[in-house]
Amino acid sequence: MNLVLEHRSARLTAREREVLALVAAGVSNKGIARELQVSPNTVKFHVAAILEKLDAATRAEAVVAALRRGEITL
Amino acid sequence: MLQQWSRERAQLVAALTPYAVAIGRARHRSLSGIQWRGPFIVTAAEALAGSDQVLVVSERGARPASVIACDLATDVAVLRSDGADGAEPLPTNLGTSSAGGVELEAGAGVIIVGRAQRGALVGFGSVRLAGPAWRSRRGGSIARRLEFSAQLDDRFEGALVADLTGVAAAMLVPGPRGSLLGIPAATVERIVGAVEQHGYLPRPYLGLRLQALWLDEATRERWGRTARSVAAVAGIESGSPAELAGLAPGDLLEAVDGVVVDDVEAFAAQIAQSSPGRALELRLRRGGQPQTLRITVAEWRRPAH
Repeated sequence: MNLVLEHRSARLTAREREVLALVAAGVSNKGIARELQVSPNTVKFHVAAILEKLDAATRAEAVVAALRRGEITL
Repeated sequence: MLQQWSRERAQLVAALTPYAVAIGRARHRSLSGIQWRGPFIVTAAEALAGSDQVLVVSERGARPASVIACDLATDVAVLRSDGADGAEPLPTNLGTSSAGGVELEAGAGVIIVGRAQRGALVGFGSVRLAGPAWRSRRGGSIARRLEFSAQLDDRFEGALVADLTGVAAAMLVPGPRGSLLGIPAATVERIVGAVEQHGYLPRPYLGLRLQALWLDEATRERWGRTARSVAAVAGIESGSPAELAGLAPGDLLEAVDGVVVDDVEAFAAQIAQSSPGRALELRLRRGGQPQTLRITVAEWRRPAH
């Protein structure tokens, strides 16, 4: 059961949420790439897209913004 | 007199430079780090931008190191390099009497020692602000608020900040609006200690998705809350501690172990401070009615395939 509030800004894709959950846990780009079986460049691409969508300057800001929006699990 | 002053400053710098390292990564600017103790080196987590292997350059040369923990909430990354320098342990002020150091006060002078690929970087500055424990906008719990004024460039990110007796007080990280923040030695040591004990940094996990909910004035008054928002449960993972504790979507989380949490970040910071295995008392409102639940913090694991 989930309650989801609508946000004006773009929601993250399922893949982006997976990437950000691993970023939040301190996993490196290579570690995330291994986990999701993609290339490290793809991970960097996802991270850049996440920062853009969440209007975050840093990874830490993105994690906090996503937590507040209920996009990643605590 | 001036010569003696200059000599004393140079001696102080010489005593600290063995602990200052440069962190080099391919196609990235270099940053600074601190040879903390044993095989552990600390640096700024954000600046690593997801790297897992770096080159550590000390006075004695370069050696590879692995990033073993990256805590974005406190901005502390812990690196391990087994070709340790074998230097004497860094004298640190952990805010305890046994450490011997004096807590930095506003206005006190500080020396900031970092390293670039070509040699040690040294800056002098002063404490602009020394305040009590605080919660960073990144959701980290930091033992003291320390801000410095000094003229430094970005190669100092992760540098060692020491008082004028040469006792390490903090690691330098960039703060909001170009400010210079210090992550106190006690906070750095809390993370290094956890990494030393487990070989990695265990992360607490509850299996909760939260969203901030704004409360109107009447509700705030009725519930005796000052904060305008509250963390609302938006989702619960199956089999998680949150589910086992009996939390439900729509629950409004008011306090953790008696500490009132104003919003999602405050709740996250309280959880970040706890450790796996600990039981916490959650005070919440369900359908407007106060309720108390106990939840046991689990350890975050990478998702299974």
